[in-house]
Amino acid sequence: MTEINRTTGNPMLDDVLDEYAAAGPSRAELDRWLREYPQFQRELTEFTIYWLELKHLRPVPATTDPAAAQARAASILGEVLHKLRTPDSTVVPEVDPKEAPASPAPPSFDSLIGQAKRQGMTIEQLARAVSMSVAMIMSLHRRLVVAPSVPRSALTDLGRALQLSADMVFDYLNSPPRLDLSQHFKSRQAPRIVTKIAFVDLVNSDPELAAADRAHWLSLVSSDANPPLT
Amino acid sequence: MTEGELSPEKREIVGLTRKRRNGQTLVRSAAVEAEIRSVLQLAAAEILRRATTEPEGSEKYLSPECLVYLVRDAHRRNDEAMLWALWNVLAARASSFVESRLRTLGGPYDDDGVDAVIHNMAIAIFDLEADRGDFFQVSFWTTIQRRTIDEFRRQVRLAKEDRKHTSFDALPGEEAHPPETDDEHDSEAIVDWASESHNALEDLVGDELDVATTIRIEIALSTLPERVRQAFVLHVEGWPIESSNPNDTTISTMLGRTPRQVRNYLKEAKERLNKWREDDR
Repeated sequence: MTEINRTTGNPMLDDVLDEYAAAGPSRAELDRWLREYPQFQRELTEFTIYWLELKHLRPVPATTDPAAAQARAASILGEVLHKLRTPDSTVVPEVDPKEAPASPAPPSFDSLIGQAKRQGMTIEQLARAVSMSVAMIMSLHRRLVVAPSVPRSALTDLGRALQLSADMVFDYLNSPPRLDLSQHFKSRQAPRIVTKIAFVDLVNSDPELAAADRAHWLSLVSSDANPPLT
Repeated sequence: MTEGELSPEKREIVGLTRKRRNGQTLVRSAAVEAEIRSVLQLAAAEILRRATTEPEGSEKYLSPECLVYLVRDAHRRNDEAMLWALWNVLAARASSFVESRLRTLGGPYDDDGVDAVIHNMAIAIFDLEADRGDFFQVSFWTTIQRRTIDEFRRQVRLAKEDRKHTSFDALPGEEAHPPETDDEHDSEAIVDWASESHNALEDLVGDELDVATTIRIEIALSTLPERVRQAFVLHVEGWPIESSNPNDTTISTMLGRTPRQVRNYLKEAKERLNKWREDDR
């Protein structure tokens, strides 16, 4: 987890700043903390200045659309949970190849739409089969949805339609987003990191989705826990 | 899963384990403890309703400290529905706060900054093998502000590095700063005026709060250049410009500027704020 702990990068300094903030930065507190931790003079001083600026300045209101902020936060949570739940792969115990258990077979499908085609289905037919819109299927196909936020029953429905297990669908969705390669040559800008969104936001933001289907998925989102499929 | 299955069973509150530097364990406030204890008796649907619909100020409003406990608890129990729903509420509150603070400080990268702080908060809360997130259960807004300032400092460092490659002013000896003067009379006048401002600000935070004046002063401060503003704020907070005792922190040592430069900052603050006041009349 290299990127995962981005504060000051110094655990002791993090602790000191956490406690200093809790004490309430002021002239007396700064003097006391500097006496105790002279090695953090610059950090404590800078922190105090910014803290006191915030105390005296009129807060500038946030302007970001709350729905967009929530979608980004959902994406962050998906990433964090994935990292926390994935055993650290940097340490690989040495195992005699002869004794090593067989690796699990890689997914036998490359994409949701590819798998649908192999089953003789169009995107529209797949969408109808699982009570979703074409746009939702495309978002899932491109792995733009946070996998743990997808109701278990949606994974099961998709798996049933595509002749896959729900676990395989989950693993597919839990991989990094698929880039839309057809668009690359059109942009002069570097590709941006694609942000995943929560399933509930996908459902809420889809104008094509039938009202009954929307109600169905929203009811599942609020009542259908989706434990990690391992 | 049915609503009944989502209901939290009666269980003890998990205590905090994070230790302060002095060895004492962090403790939630009695109010937060009572709130958590009370909320854990509720059905999941009622917890979600309170989290999403009760406005701040309502008796049933869930504090962020309580929400942190509940999302961590849901994570521990693999209750994904509760985890995601409460995280959405908590993250929405925090995102708005972080963005506001970054914009107030003048952070150049609002979106990235908000994401970095929310990411950091998520790690602290959801890493069940660590207890760094305990601070969020003790004082949520203090902890999130502390991490927001961390992020702002990181952005300032990045911006300085960028400027090194682009700005002539950043070359050694070319830093922009006010001219040095030795106008003692003017300096005395600045100190007096700043003292008056200090008294005025003290009055503002007393019982007789004049909200309109508070807002006007806060807005006026935001119009000052960064160093000028910082010097003024530190002066208002009681730091001396300089001291004969080398162990004292002073505005001069904190900002890395000479006492004369600090006096000039305060002079500039006086001039700009006076002008702002006159224009505002």
